Amino acid sequence: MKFSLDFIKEFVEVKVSPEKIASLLTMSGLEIVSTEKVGSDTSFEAEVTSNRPDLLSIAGIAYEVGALLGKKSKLALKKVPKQPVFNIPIVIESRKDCPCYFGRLIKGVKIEPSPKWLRQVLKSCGIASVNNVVDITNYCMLKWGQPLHAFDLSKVEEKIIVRRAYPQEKLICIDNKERILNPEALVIADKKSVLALAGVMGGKNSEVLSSTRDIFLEAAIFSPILVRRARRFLGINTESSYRFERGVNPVYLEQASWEAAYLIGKLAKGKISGCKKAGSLPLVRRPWIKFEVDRMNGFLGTQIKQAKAGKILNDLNFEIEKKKTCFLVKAPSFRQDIKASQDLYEEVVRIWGYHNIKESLPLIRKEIRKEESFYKFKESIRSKAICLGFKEVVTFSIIPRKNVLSDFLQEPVKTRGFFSSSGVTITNPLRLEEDLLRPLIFPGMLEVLRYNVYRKERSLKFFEIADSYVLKDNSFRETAKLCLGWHSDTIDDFYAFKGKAEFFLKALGIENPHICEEENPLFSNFCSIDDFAWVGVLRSDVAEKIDLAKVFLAEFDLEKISKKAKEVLFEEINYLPWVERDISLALREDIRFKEIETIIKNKTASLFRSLEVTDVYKGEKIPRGFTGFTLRIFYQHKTKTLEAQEVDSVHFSLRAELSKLDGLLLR
Amino acid sequence: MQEKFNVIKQEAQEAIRKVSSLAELEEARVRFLGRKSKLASLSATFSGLEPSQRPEAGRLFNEVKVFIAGILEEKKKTFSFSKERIDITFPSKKTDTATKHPLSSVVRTMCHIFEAIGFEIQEGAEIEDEWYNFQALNIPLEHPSRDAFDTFYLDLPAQGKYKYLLRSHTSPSQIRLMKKRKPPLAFVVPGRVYRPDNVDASHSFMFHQVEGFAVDRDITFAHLKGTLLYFAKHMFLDEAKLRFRPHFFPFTEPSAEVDISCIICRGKGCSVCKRTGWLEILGCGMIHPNVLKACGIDSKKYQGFAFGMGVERIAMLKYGINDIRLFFENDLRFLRQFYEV
Ligand SMILES: [Zn+2]
Repeated sequence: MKFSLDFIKEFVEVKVSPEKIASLLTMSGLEIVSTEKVGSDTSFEAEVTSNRPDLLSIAGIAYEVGALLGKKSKLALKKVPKQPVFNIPIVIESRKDCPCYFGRLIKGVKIEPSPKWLRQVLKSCGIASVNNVVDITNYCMLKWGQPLHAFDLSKVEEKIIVRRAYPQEKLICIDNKERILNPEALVIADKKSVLALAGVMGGKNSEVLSSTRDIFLEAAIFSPILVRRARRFLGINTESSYRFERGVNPVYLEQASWEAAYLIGKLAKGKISGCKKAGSLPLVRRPWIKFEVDRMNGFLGTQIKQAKAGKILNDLNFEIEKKKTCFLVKAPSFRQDIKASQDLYEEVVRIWGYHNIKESLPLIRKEIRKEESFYKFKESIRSKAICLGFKEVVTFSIIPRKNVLSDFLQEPVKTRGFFSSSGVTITNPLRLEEDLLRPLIFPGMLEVLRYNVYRKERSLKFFEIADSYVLKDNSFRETAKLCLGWHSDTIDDFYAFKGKAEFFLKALGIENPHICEEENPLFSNFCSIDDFAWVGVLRSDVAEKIDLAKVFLAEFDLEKISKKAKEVLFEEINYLPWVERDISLALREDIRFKEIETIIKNKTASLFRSLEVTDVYKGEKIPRGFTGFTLRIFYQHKTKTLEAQEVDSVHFSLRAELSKLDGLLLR
Repeated sequence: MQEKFNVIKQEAQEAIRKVSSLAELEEARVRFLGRKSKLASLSATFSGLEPSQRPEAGRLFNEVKVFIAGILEEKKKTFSFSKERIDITFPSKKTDTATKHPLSSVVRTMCHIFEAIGFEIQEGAEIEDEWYNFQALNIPLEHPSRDAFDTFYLDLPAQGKYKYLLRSHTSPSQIRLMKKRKPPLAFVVPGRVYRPDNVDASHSFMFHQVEGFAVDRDITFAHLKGTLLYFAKHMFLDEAKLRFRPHFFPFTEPSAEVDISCIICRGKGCSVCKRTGWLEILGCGMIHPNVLKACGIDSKKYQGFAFGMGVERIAMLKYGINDIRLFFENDLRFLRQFYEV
């Protein structure tokens, strides 16, 4: 809202500078975003919050400026003279859509440019001058906050009807654009056609032009919701719709209408010839609200004097009745936002000045109990991931329906096993197609890997902690997940990745989880860990498609993990010496390590401490289809020092057992 | 006699300190311990001493001789081990360590500041419904005050008349906590929020907020100001000042927008603060009685404050980042500039 300081000065004496006014208003809730000199006047541009439609009028701002300067605006309501009722019928189809419609006739006007003073006021308020009649309607709207509309009476056929538009009904508005309406829109029509989009914009067909002689002046109250829907649907925001949407003050309606008619009579030399009211003005509720200064001070932490509070409320045009221990306060008609005592506290304190409130810290009382916080659990997961060498990333929860994986999945991220569920869809996405709430975190991870691979980084370890959203039989589940992503040029790094994943679970006290290998269309290796995680190696065709080499991924369901995690306790250190023995062997490629590991553990039983692969090789000495490696086995007894003989005998029988295995060669 | 020995001792110490090669060191040895050294010629004079003085002269002679031999040996070692020395000006190996995302570390810093004065950290869900995101927060369905909260709606069967959506602020978590717990209450709630804003240098359809609120019998606006000032001083600078401007939010009354004295120019005026010396950082206010009522809290007995701030905004100010998109691109050249773990 742009407004003129000179216009305000008609109601309040202002002795301070425009800069001071701007700062006072900003610091009391009417933010002045720019100040501009217009001749000898100053034009302010204010940002009006949606709860204060009264500040869309000079009348409202004048009270505000007055209270800030410690005086009261001199704005007064004038007596509206009685007028004969004209005989053009006004029909309101629904009082809900339009509670009141007030018409006036002004005949024999002379349409001319406005006088200089009027043009200047409008200019300072950011409104272009059109002609005297239109300018007067705008002037009165600015002053009272009540939008008015002038029709060329000769274009009105028989009667005025306030009704919903018919489907596909058309109207060319005064901005020369044709608009196709629907029954959501409220219109002003005559017997034959639509004349205006109620509360939003007038039609070309009834516009006031230089040839216009007789004026039909509209002042009405339209449903804020209908005006809002119409202007949103049609994408037009006007001075009028802006005010109707926020609510106009019924008390000012006839005032504004009369003043406009009076000015048209005076400046356009017309003859005010009758009025008519259809419907009735909505009742303005102005309840008495109890105001206790001690309660206010207890609410705000202030020491505002009762007299000071009273003065502020009075300057803001509130009615005050003094009782023994409190005030009874009635808000002015233009302050429908005031409903309870807190609203009055705000009025007082914002004029008194927020800066006058002295800061202090609250003493927060606390219950004696353990505060379980999932945030803190996630923080501990975050630290563990960082300790394991993964860098944190943050990616979008909303992903394109057509994403890096679409080519490999019939439907995005929807297949058997772990991907049995699909994501939640956004009905009003920002961009079409970008409407999927991700059921899994890793598509975002792949994007990050690719982004950095394109920037010549090859060795990447990232993690993300974020929520995933899964649709499940008409319902949904939102769960926090940890996603690990590793990009490397060699598959051997998988074992390092595996080691980190194992370490992660160990650190959470999760031991011997059930690991199940599965087929998966995206992964060459894929396994689930209990019901709370999965680990996979991206299939090479998928990886190549997105320009990546080897990609290892894992996702952990943090809610499930938080229930399983337990504190890891100290384990007694075994200080007894251990003995190592190496076995060099070659394993046929169809034999899995797991098989020999089971044999080793069975055979060595209580002497087994750990094993390690010290060396892997393929080559001349190794038969085709075999892989050679050296295994180092560590033996240790729990309670006594091992004798070499004892180890040798166990180790020998282990070798004997291994040699029986088809596909294993001892060397 | 003593005097003479001392002179020799000092002379030797001085000279050996200045030696810079093994050859020079040998020269020094000859000069101070050789047959023609001053020490040797001094000892030649012992025969002329009284017999009673001779043992003392002998003792002094030995002491000085051992001393000089010692410093010669010490010096020699420094020459022989100097081969071990390496060229420390050779380029170092690059270190890259795992770190937190800057948004995570800023969230943690923010939450910990509030935790230190008694706030508990909790989180809430991102999928919410209209009741929690709007209705309970005193935001009417069709009203201009709703315009600030454009929202992503979800294709999920509605809960009664309330449709599912992605929360457009962290305030629904305030409602959930107020419904679940009884006063006294003091929480901070960090989390992701979503608004269908077109992406540019200062807008993102996904961003992070930290919400905070406290409810008890005597929580005042002065406490709100104090709490936020405490936060600003810990998050930014001890000299930080806050400016509370009255504003409108449906869920608080009175409400305020809060500006911090520009941390770049320290309030003198620069391009970041558009010459005003102030930067808007958050919105806050005293919790509206309707909101307390919606959560089953008696607004006659209890009162409280609430605030909400954008994490990206705070992080951008703290680190001097000028484009919000950098947080979500995850470019290593960006991530490597943050060191929090
Ligand atoms: Zn600045």
